[in-house]
Amino acid sequence: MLPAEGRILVTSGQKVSPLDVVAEANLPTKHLIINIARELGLSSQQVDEVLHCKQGDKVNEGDVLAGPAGLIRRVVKAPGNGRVIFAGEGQVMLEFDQPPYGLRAGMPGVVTSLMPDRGVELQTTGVLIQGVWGNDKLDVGVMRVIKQENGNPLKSKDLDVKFKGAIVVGGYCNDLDILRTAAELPVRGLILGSMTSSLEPDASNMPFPIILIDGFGELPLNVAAYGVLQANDQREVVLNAERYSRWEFKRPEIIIPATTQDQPPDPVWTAELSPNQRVKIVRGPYRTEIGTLITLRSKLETFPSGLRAPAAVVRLNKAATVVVPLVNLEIIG
Amino acid sequence: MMTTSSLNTESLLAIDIGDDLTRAILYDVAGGLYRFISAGISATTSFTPDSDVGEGVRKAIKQLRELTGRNLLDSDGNLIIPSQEDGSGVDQVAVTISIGLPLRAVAVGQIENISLESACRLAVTTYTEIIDTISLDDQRKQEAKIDAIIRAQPDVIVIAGGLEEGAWKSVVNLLEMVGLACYLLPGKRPEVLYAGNQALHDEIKALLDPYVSLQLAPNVRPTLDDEFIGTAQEQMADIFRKIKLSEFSGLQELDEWAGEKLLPTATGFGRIINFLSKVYNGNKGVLGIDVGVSTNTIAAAFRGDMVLSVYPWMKRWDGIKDLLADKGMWGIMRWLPFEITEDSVRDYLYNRIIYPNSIAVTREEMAVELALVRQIIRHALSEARPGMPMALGKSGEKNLPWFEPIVASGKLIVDMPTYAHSLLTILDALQPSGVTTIVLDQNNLTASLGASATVNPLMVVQVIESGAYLNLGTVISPVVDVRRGTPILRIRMTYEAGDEVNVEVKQGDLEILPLAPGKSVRLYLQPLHLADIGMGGPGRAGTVRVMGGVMGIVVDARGRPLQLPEDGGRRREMLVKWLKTFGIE
Repeated sequence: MLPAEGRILVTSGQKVSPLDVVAEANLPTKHLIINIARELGLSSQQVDEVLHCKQGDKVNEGDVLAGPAGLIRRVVKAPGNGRVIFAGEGQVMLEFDQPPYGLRAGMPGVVTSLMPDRGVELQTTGVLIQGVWGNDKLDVGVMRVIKQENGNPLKSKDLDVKFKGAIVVGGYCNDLDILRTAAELPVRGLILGSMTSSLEPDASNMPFPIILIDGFGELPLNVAAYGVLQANDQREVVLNAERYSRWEFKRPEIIIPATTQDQPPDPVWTAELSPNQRVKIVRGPYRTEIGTLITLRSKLETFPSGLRAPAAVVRLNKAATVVVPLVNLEIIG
Repeated sequence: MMTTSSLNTESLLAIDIGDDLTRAILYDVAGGLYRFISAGISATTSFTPDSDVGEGVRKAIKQLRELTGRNLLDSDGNLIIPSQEDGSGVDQVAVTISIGLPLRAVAVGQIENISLESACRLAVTTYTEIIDTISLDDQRKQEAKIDAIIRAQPDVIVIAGGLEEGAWKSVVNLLEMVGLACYLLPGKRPEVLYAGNQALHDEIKALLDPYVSLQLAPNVRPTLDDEFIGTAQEQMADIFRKIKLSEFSGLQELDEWAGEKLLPTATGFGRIINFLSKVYNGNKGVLGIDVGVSTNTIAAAFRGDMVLSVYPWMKRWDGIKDLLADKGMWGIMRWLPFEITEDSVRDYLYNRIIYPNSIAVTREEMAVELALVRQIIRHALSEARPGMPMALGKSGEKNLPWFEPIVASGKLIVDMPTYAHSLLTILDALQPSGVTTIVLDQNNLTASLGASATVNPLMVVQVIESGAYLNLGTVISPVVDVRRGTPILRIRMTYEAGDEVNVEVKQGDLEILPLAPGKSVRLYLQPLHLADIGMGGPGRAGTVRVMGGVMGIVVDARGRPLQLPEDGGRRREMLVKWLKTFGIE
């Protein structure tokens, strides 16, 4: 969706690539008020006689807006391209031209519907992995997975020249040097399980997209996401590291387009927890662990924190079972 | 007490839609008096797959039916209104909402530390985020101010300025600039609330009406020394309502159920605090804090003059960063009774923003959570204090004004492991002075009662008196600047049976004097060393009758403002000691 009303640049049924601009809008621009009377040493009434523009006029840089006036025949020129917002009472207000804001597709796909003046709906087939934090950048590239061993953090030396131009999947990052090394290579993107929060400001400013799948801290990628990413090693992926905003329906996403033309069934949306669902634990000692929901407890459970809450028994992949508050579970596909 | 027997009794369904949870609360007559009956809860359904808040409301109402056996919806899912002879349906509906992103606001005032401050305070009486402020003191060029407004893409522009019968030309200049910015704004135009010099109303209509939806309010700063936010904050609430109605599918129907009186949750909360301040009508004010998952609301009222301050920090990612900025991180770290790195705590807090509805599982997580709640309240209090009613008395500029009672509400303060956790957190965060009762809104009813106040005021009175609120305890906090260990207060407790207990309190003490709920005791308080307990001045003694709360009577002589030791070891030792005093292991 565009942040303001604009123009749709594609048609229904059209195929698009992730970096294609599908709609554009003129967003707030810069203005300038020129005090012509002061510049020319005239009264407001006198300015009217030497004014060469009126409200709505398009002007180019260097166009004479007013003058000549005075002994040295002074003129006032437009300092840039734009249009006249108002002209009168000894002043001219200009609005400068700015390149329009372009809304990129963010994924390969087909335009299925148009939302007049605001955006388009796209459809694609493939794998979608949603993250929880992104640095608001977008790119497409071949994904290269660095093998996760013993939960070790990503290290600068892991990022050798073979990762140049790739979207790199690492475990977790706790060192600014890793981000700097990635920028120097450069990589096209970074997919991490987690990152220490102290790196957030620097990560936000990196020139390539970064997505955290699980959050902040020093935890490796959850096994479900790692498994999917590893199975698609060396494939082209889209890294849309949008900032997570629940109210604007934005979440950082990794899209791995399908190679087959077969149309899989639509995913089933559900927010209700029930047995046999695959779930991720999002808080507490088992954070980022993946498991299967075995049962929903019929009574409130008291946790070591002292809080009492509805809970579920979850079997972790290690075969152990744990009791987790329902609100700390996220259903995964 | 007036009973409902002589009145046409009417049941009321109060619906509260929060970011994560939707609640359907039923009030009706039981035993001749209005009572809180029960509440059904559902997830808020503003997102896929429902994308209609009405679905969550219906789910909450269905849960209410399971709890009460009362059917409020017909077979098509429509609300049965009025109530029927078979007991189904309800007679009245009140709706409060706090969902969605805060409104983007630009505050405009004539002078930075006078009318601009008032405009900012008015803006935060509902769920807003002030994106920019503009005043005559602003050194930016005119076009830069215009661009700032355009860049802000505000939902609302709040304007104050010009004393009544004062100079007006500069205000008109400001308004011309606002009008031009609104004209140049691409896309939707903002709502504008003007609460400045009322002599300019006609001029303002001519200037702004063509470009914006304009509301005119009484001057919030009629003189240099007076600030009256009261009426204008109701208009801010209406602007919030209007914008949210267009934002969320399903709200329009709920607004119709409520007779087009849908309210921001914070406004409902503020109305009850204001109501209580009129009822008590003493020399102290009434304070309300509502600490929700994403928003903290503070309502301070004195004899019907109430100022609301709403801080929806946790609704957006940057909110937690703002909270941790400056000394915010230390504001959390200092309350932790064990050693932990700042990085670990920050990691935890950032993850908490991602999953706002998740809960603490371990004791360590709970400790961070409690520290965060303290910091949220303290930060909000520091922002809200300058706008509190000027008539509120206090002992020292840095201390909280005298309040009686203090009402605490909201998930983060109510859903704690024990009442002791709630009370100690409130004491540490608010640091009340003098003698005050801490009341817990254990069912989070206050906002819904506030929304019901206009349709059924009798119900509000009777529910408040019904015991739906929990008396956590009476707190006695002497204010005096003496060395730790110095005796500062003598207390003589006279029980109903006539027996007496004498207690001497020393500076630095934190003690609990047991007094069971429902029992009363007469306290004679004799301050020493000119300690101030709010009895009319430093050293003034007095007698008060107090009712027992779940935590009895708490004597908090830890000092005001409360200073924690700089040394980490000593500080943690002290925190553990206070936790033990409250029975928290």
